Amino acid sequence: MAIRANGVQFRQESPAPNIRGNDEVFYYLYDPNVDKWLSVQMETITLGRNASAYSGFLRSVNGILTTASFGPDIPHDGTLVALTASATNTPNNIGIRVYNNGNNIFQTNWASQDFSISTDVDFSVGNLSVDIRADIVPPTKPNYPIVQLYAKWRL
Amino acid sequence: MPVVGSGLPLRVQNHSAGGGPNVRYHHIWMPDVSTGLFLSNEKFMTECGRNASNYAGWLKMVNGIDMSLARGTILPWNGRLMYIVGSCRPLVPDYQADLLLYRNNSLVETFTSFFSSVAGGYTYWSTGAGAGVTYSAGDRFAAYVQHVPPPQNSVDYPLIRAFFVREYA
Repeated sequence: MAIRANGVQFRQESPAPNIRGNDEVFYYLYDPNVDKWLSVQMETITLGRNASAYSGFLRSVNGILTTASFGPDIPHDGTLVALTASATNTPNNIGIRVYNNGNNIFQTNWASQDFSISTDVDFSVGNLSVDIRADIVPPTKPNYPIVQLYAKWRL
Repeated sequence: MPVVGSGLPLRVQNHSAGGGPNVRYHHIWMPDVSTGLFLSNEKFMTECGRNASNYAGWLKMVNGIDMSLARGTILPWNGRLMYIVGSCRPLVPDYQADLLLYRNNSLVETFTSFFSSVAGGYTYWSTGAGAGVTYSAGDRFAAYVQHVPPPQNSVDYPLIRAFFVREYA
């Protein structure tokens, strides 16, 4: 059910896919900028690598190595709305590739550690992983990279 | 735009402060009656810890990345640190340690005896700490455990989780 108040539309719905029946309900807000219903709630996924001059897939808690088809499991469909990448060396080149269930859904090359708050990348229920590359010129690989993904659930 | 529903004023708006012109997403902002600030309804969390006993020093992020100066994650929006909760697995009955919070390589706050057996619990929680710490888009936080003698022991296996909100300004 959509509720309109002063031109703002809300919906109170179970997420998609609905794995908990009516036990789980989120508030969604229609965002005309991206033409999507996105949850008010936001999730953060953090991956990193405790190594200098690193290229490759990042690791999860306790050093679990992710791959294109293995990473933190995501219970619902959603949209990446922001991401950050940090490293300890300056300058550094950080090429970021995000995978969802084995598919490359996003990539960017940053000349240095940076952040984006205009990301608009959909993902499906399953898993997410991040591959760090330093294949742009000059290829200065990042030291001790950390990537944080910010996700909202999508109807 | 402010929205009034059941007497609760909300603001639903995208946010340009700290983000430049490319901000797309709308967010719900809730008024903080004590400060008059509009804070985002969504919180986000980052955690760090140290898998060591009697520890003093920098805490570590995912995969063991040390949060020493100039490290730590970047925050993408302006906002406030709402609170830090911390726990530990004490191996000895007497422990006490401060938690030092750094922002962009500078000490911004010291939480005295954040970890302490004096508090009487197996786990010490600090639910109010950090409420006044602000940050801007691009800032980085790091956390350090400082031993406070006596007693003789620092904290064992400290684990903290920091909860942030965005601020509409």
